[in-house]
Amino acid sequence: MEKKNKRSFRERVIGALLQFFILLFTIGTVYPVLWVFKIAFGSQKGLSLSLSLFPAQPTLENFNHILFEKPFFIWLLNSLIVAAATSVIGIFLAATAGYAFSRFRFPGRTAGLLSFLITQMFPGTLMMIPLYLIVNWLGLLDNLAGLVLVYSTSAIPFSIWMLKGYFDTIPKELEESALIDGASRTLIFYKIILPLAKPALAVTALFSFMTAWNEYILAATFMNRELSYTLPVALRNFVGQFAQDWGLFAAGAILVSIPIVALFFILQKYLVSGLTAGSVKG
Amino acid sequence: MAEVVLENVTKKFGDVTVVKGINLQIRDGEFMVLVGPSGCGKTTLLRLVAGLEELSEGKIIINGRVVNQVPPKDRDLAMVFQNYALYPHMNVYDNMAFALKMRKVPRAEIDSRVQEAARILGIEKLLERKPKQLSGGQRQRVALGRTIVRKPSVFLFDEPLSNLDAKLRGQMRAEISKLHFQLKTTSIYVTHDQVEAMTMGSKIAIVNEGVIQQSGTPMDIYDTPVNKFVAGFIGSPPMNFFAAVVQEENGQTFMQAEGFRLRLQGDLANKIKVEGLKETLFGIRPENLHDAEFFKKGDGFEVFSVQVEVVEPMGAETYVHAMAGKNRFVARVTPKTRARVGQAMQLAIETVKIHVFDKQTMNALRWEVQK
Repeated sequence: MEKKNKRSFRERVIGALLQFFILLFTIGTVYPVLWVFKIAFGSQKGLSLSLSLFPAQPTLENFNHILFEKPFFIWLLNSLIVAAATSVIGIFLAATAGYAFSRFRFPGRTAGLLSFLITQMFPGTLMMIPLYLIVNWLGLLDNLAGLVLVYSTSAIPFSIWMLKGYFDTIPKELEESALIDGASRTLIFYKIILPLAKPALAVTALFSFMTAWNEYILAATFMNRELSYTLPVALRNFVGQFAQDWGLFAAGAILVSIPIVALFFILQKYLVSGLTAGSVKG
Repeated sequence: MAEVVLENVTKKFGDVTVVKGINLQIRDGEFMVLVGPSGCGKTTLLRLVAGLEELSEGKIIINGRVVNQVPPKDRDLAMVFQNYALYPHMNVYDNMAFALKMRKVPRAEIDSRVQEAARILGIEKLLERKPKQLSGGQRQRVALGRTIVRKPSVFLFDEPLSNLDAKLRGQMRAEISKLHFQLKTTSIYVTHDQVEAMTMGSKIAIVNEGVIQQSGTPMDIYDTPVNKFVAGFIGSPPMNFFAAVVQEENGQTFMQAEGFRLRLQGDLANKIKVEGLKETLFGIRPENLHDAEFFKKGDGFEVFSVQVEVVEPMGAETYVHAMAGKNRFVARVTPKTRARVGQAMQLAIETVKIHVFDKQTMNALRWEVQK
């Protein structure tokens, strides 16, 4: 009896501690985000040192300024074009390559897969100078196509691994059955494999889109004209060396995050089924 | 309608030869069952016929045409896979119509064929459903339906019933047999289940280690297995084997096994004498062992004593597991048996039904009369 009480007391203490830490981490995660909202809706240009989460004089001035007095929609369009093109090109190449890696045995298969893995081990900034030289040589500096090229190549290795892993879980009997039924390899890929791989395609597309959408360093290096900026570069310039407008920056940050959040919601059902895929027979 | 002929069919995966020079003829309209333990090469053989694997050597001839280089879709065959291989994102109708769409069959024709197949299989009400909304038996029916809409000249079945529970399996077994009776399409059916082989096949081929051990009608194979493997593989419970020494005494032939001694008569005794066998391996099926108490003794029967280990009443009959010396026997006896675990009982053995195997080659010794 005594022992049982003791144990439940200990369990309760552990439980309380756990709750405390969870609360702490939640505050730690949410507070900065709320703080960004405070700044965005506030009227100050600088950073206030107050811990309060409510702006002293709430205003939409920052949003008004960034939306209508800056070329925000051009930057948005730039970002959208770059991110969309990156995910479309990336998905197409990664899906076809991933399928080949999953289904065919060819010389260099293992080496190819490993080399994709190795490219993921180097930090992106390491590649900056060689990439700059290549893009410059191609004459694509200050051109969105240059960014698309660089982003898709850097997203593809991960995407190939991701999709190959998913294709591996699709029973090969489905394809054999289709082969006997009279379908060609190409048709099988588009009519059987791709529809079944929707969850993985959604996850991969989201990954590519986000990578391109959020990327700053390469975009800042390659894009020098204000009108060819993508959103991260444009935002960064609000808090540059000479002028510091944190209000604009925060308002911009909120606007930039909207499409990503929307995309997450749209793809949510695929993301969930992507995570549970393979757990159910048949 | 078609005839399938395999000539010296060989398949190697790297250094491993999985199918070793198989020759087999499947006549028009025949239901050929390839049966064998897992890993014996039977599925590979089926996949070779389907064109899903490339031949290493030999020829596959369908309807007089060598199809070695013909892609699967042009071999005019349809296949049912072990896991059904239904397209998960298509409904039942589209699953069944897929092959016809691929072949550019007119829409109206597709519809009538799918409806007809659905009617034959009793799945008309399921046409709008997705595979994941179907039970195992229903999926199996759709998989069958997908093959029959094609009206191919050959059906291939790769262990189609192994994912079903025992009751459903028995039911589907009968349905496939019925379907074959209606359609009379040449079929090759792969299974590891000897019951399926016995009950469904118009012919059986028993495969082991990439070689066909024996082929023929089910009853032929059951009655006259050519070697110990076939004898032990076909039949449930399996045949009992025991080693014994042949002895001659006063012109009579006896076999002395550990724990018991039997007098042999007639053709069997003669054959053993002619062959000059001394030490050899004998086999007897469980149904040829009877409870001596309830069995009229007479010519062709010998009685010996065993120690009962397990008694399994099945209702219509009772299986008795017993030991005689170091030899283990299973006997299918009358349910009236008074056998009790741990006690001795008398078994009557039908000596004319005894199978004799060469100890070295394990091949069966054939003799004339099997009453």
